[in-house]
Amino acid sequence: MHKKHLVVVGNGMAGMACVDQILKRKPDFSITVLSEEPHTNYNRILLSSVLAGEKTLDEITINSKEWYEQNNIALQLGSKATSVDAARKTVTTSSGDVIGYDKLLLATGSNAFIPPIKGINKEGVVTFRNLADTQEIIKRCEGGGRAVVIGGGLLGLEAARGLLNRGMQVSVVHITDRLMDVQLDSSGAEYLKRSIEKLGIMVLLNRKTAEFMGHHRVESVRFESGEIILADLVVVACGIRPNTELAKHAGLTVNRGIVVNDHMETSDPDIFAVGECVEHRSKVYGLVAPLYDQGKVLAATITGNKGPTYEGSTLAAKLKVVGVDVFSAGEVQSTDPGFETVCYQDESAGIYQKLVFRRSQLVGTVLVGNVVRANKLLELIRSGEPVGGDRYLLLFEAASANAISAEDVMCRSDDETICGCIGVSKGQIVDAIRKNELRSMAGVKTCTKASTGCGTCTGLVESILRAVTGDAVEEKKNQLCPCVPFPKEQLRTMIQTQQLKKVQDILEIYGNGIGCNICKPGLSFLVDEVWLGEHEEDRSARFINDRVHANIQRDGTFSVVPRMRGGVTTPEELRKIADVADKYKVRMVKVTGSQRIDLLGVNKEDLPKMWAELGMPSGHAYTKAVRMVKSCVGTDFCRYGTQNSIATGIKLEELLENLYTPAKLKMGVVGCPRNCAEATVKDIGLIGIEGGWQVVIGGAAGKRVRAADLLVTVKTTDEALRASLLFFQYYREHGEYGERTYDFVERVGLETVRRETILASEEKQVALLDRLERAKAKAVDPWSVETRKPVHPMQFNELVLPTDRSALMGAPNA
Amino acid sequence: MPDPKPESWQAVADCGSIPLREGRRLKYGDKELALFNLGETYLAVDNRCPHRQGPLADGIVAGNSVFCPLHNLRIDLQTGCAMNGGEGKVDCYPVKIVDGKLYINFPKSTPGR
Ligand SMILES: Cc1cc2nc3c(=O)[nH]c(=O)nc-3n(C[C@H](O)[C@H](O)[C@H](O)COP(=O)(O)OP(=O)(O)OC[C@H]3O[C@@H](n4cnc5c(N)ncnc54)[C@H](O)[C@@H]3O)c2cc1C
Ligand code: HEM
Ligand code: SF4
Repeated sequence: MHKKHLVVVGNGMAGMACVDQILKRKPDFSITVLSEEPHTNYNRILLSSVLAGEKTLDEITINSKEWYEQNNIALQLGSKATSVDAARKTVTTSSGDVIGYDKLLLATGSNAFIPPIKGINKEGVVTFRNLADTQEIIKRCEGGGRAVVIGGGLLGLEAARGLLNRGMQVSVVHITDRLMDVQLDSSGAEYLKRSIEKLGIMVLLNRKTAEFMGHHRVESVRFESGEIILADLVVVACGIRPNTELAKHAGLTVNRGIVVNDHMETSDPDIFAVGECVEHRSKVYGLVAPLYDQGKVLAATITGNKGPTYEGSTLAAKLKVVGVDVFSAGEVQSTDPGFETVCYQDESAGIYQKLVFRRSQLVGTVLVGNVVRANKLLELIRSGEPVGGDRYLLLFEAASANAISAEDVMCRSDDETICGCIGVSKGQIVDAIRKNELRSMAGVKTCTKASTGCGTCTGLVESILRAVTGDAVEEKKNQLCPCVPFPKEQLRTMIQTQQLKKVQDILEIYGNGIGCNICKPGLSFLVDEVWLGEHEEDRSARFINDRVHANIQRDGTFSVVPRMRGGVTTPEELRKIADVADKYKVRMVKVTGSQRIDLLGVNKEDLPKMWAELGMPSGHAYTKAVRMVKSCVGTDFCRYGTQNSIATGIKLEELLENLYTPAKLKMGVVGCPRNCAEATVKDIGLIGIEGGWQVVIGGAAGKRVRAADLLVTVKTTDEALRASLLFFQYYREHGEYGERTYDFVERVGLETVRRETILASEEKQVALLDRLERAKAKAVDPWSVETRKPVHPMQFNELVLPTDRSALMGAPNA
Repeated sequence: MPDPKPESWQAVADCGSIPLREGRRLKYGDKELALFNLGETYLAVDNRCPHRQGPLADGIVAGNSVFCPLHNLRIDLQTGCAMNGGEGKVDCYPVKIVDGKLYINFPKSTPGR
């Protein structure tokens, strides 16, 4: 029997998703797809990631040629439908072919809107819609220079971010007084503007572009106000226009888009339409989610299963710009009397969140700076489920996923383990608080030991404390510890002005003369850092790990982790490690998460002998110091590598090894954004991109997972290393003892970090680097120094009874 | 302190073997002690922390007390008691110095080597 012929015009996201749905219904169709673009179907959304250097073309391809073959789809690449004859049921293509159809599916999408601006056809003025555009933009970024993006919507901002990653100096020009004005209200837009500016992108609002100037190529942009800015590249992202030419030609009803009913039928019974080119109930959509819903309904209708209806979609949009979290859904700017709003803002944290209610239903939301609750809120908007009780709780949960309400904590059973490291139950904590009348976290920690391990449970324990004491919790003071009751910054100054070089002296002059396990190591770090290594070392003030340069284990033995720069080792090193492990009968040889090897279960006395025999430097795996640089194989071996991550990783490790830091500091260097060595969750990470590096800071995958923030994008390896060193020293000088970079960056703010490091005056930068260099000059590998010359003859020794038995048994001649 | 019986005092080490404000472990028969140099005095207690058997000799000294290096339980070296509401107790041993040597008075029941 003759199969019906389905011709699909447009090989885009909506069209192919719809064809996929049609295939699922095992139709009696032979299918032809006309594709103007010369590629198989790809994920248009990810063009932003391609521009940003995070994805390659291969990675965004949705269907391969084989897929079309397997499904018996005749795919005509580079073939544009130029006209439709609805009466004779034929389509004509750009090559002149006339193709007959039984059913026609129009999925022609949209075109970039090209505003009528003088000079718009100049070379260097491009749109950002398809792969060809993206490739052209990437090519034009090669020489660097100034890029101007016209349009501050989703697309424009994503383009701007991509251009920034490509090493351009970027400005975004927007015609109204707020960015993303379709999705955001004015406050949300203001918050967004600030975070975009923090990335280093200039935002110019209220600018109507009048002309693109230049001889042949664009050289500058003139606004109606007369203001002129320079531009080597202009990306026009002023919106989209549904591509309806063909439909009009075919005589279909077309308003803004091709008009369809709830069954996705057009005014012609044999012609259907789906995607951005469609207008449904007076709405035209520009995001994929609704288009997929349309496709499912259309598939039912076109295969003779008419029934399901499409009734419109709630729009939800998320900005795909790393480091700028924006989510918007539903009604967001209605000022109608029927709407009520609930807002939460935290200016310094850059968080703005708004809920819009109509009666008891949530109908819209704007989230900037924290989008953890986006899905939950969208679900609530879509379901229309009434929200009872305290509406602000929806936001409270959104703002802080970790905080737990007092009721919630108290509902847990007494047996439930709260602190997994130490093994403390809720009941034990509650008892201790009641029995000892505890009022502070410090008290709870001393009495129960809860929250003294990895610290993940701190939030829970605090909630329990609040619940039991009814909020009478003592305020945390910004002091190191009660033994030296001064703010930390003040301590630093006192150490400097009073020329104090020894921990015990500080304790005696400014403290209780005794100190404790918290302030002693803290002060040890401070004197070392303030005097750039020229302090008077007092090992008794150090934690045992720092007395013997090894990590104490639960049974009192130690572990040995030699440095392997960049995670690169040699057969000789491995042989030595194996020999030493055999000779000293270490209990376990373990590859650590930090790309090196750990020898576990070592006696203190054996440490210096093992180090000497290994002949490798300390990896500082036991202390608050520069730990390591993880690296991937990069351009040396990897077929994706764009930068030499191994050499750069080793270099970075050499530049910073042996230096102590407020808290442990881990680094990573990767050759491309695939990020195999996980640089985005390191305190400092270098991410190779085409033609440069991204330097990221403040990442962690420890008790908290935090993606690193982009500090800067640079072209050369030297610049990347310099930016890393600037941040490193700034953190060393301003981080509080025990404060990881991820807390540090959040506390002082990325903007401040940038201002004080990469954007600081040359003088300031040189001074920072100079202090780092001086400290580094004093920093030594403790293993090689202290095996030869221990700080005390008994540094690694325990006491041994005199062998002369009579001497030890006999009474002293007192 | 009543005069200890002469034969229960044992010479265990030179004073100089323990750095100031640090501790060192001493194995004696099946016992493990921690000796501390507190500047003016030397004190000795059982080495294993009552909480999770951490080696007290490796702890940070604060006045007349030490913080266990494993989980920071604070032990008073003069009484052997856990401080700050913690629980547990370690045994203490009298120490004296003669001619630069440290002597410890072990209870009589303690077996020698
Ligand atoms: C950079 C970028 C980022 C985006 N990010 C997001 C996002 O994060 N989230 C989101 O939901 N949406 C996003 N979008 C929008 C999303 O990509 C579109 O909504 C979606 O691709 C529309 O699908 P479509 O099939 O209707 O149109 P398209 O994907 O544009 O497909 C239409 C295809 O038809 C072809 N065509 C047109 N006319 C003819 C003809 N006469 N003959 C033959 N072929 C023809 C076109 O060449 C095109 O390939 C983004 C868009 C861009 C450009
Ligand atoms: C007393 C407890 C702990 C000890 C002795 C310990 C020891 C170590 C050691 C020796 C390494 C390898 C380090 C190196 O090669 O430099 C390591 C790595 C690591 N540790 Fe711990 N650790 C402890 C607790 C924790 C806790 C509580 C967390 C998280 C909550 C944690 C998270 C990590 C991570 C994520 C790595 C891998 C590092 C990387 O790949 O970047 N550790 N730890
Ligand atoms: S991160 Fe490194 S190893 Fe991974 S793909 Fe990129 S270059 Fe290759």
